[in-house]
Amino acid sequence: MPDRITNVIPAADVVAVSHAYLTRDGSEVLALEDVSLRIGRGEFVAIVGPSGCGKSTLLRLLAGLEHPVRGKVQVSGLAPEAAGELVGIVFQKPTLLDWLNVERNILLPVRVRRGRPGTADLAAARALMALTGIDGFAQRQPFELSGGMQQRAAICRALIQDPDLLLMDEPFGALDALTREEMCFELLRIWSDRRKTILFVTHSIPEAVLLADRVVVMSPRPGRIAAVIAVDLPRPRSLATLAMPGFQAHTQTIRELIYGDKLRATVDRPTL
Amino acid sequence: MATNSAPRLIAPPSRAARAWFASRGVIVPAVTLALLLVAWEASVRVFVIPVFLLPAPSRIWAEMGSMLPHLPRNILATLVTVLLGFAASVIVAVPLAIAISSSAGLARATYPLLLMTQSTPIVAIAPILVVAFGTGQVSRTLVAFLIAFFPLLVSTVTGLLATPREIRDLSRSLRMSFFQELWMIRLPAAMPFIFAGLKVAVTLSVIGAVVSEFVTANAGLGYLITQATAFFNVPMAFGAVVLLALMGIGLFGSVVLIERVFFPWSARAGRPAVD
Repeated sequence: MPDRITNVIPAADVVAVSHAYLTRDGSEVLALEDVSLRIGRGEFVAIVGPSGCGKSTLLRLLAGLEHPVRGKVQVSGLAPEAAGELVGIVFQKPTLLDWLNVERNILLPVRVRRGRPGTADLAAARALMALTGIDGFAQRQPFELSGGMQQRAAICRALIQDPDLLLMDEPFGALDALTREEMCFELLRIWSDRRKTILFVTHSIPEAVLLADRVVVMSPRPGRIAAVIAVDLPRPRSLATLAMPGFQAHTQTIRELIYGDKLRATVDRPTL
Repeated sequence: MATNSAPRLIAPPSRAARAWFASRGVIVPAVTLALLLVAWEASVRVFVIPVFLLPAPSRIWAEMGSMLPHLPRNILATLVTVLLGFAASVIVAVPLAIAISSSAGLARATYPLLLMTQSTPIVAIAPILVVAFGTGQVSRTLVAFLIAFFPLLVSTVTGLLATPREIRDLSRSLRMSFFQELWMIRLPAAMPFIFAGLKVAVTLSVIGAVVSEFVTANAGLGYLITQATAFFNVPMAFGAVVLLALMGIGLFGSVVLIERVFFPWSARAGRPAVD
């Protein structure tokens, strides 16, 4: 919601970005075309769209994992490569290192950027583990944790240096449906505690509506922003939110934006 | 546990059954080996096989007994060659693998050359090496090294290149330096591959050591075999072969143990797993 944006410098700013990949035979695949998106501080933005719509590419650009061919990407007014500790990332897989225990995994960004973690870092790690409900697992090895627990540890790792912006690339996509729903509510709780700016890529429409302030709907080939839907459902959101008429209305709107035309066509076609 | 309130569906296994389950991995192969030895001994006696064709196990045992004072020196000589060759292969293969896996240009430049050295039978090179490096420990170590080195190099390169894409994204998003990435991510992630290579290399080092002793040595189990067969002392040759087999098993076991103790995640991966 625009009135939440109080700071002058947005947490993330994507200006007229186009991005393309070269295929092996030298031809070009357009991943993003003229995408602009401004995310205010403390805002929770979800990106939904079918596969191939460039939603992960957009996130990778903000993470500095790729450079846009055209346009400008900024995180808190800085180039993504310079943003360092200001950005935390949660990938689809937990990507915990098998040879480190949970606590050392969570402290990895500290170790990489500043060397040996100090007592303040250890305290931060402990607080995050308590917040995400994995306290007591600090000394365990990743393989001893369930998928949901591993992803909680990955969230702790992303938050350990108190970033401005949390990028999440289908973070619950590899989890089973029940754990996934549970993790959504967990994330809402964590967000309400830490008030990070979150950019959340997903292909689940209900997930996007449940979590986000704004849902960015993307269309594929080339990736474009088809619509930006402001979700005006009250916070804090809970199980009850899922039953609200507003929730249904929003998911329906987005669903139609994504494949409404296609579905209608299928229904209208005379059956053999 | 709810076992106290609910009646058990399956009766608990008896003590004997549990003892059997715990030890069958040892008992079954031990019994097989014992049966094999008995059959060997029996057939040699029943069919009166001449000792220079196939000595009975009891005969080999007796021969080893009479050789006992000379065995430690010869075992040690071979072991030194094996361990030096193995150590040299690790010291050369791992840094070279790091270099090759980090630079496509270097990989292209060196791979054909390395492949060529590997396709050349080392047994054929061994006498040439003796001419160049003399009849001492250097030549023997080189032979063991040359045989053990290549499989270790290949598996280490494979391991260093097999870091999953998501983990590489993680390291890039944290802007890890080359050495940070190498030390914190690529080397540990490659450990299952490296240990697979080490297990092959240590066994090949034994082969290399024996080959080198066939060519040039005045001690060692390989030397013992050439000496024994020259005098048709087949029981002694068999004894040396048994000792070599035991040495190989022992060294292989040591590598497995080192992996289990110091790199448990690698041992858990069992064989190289990409995910």
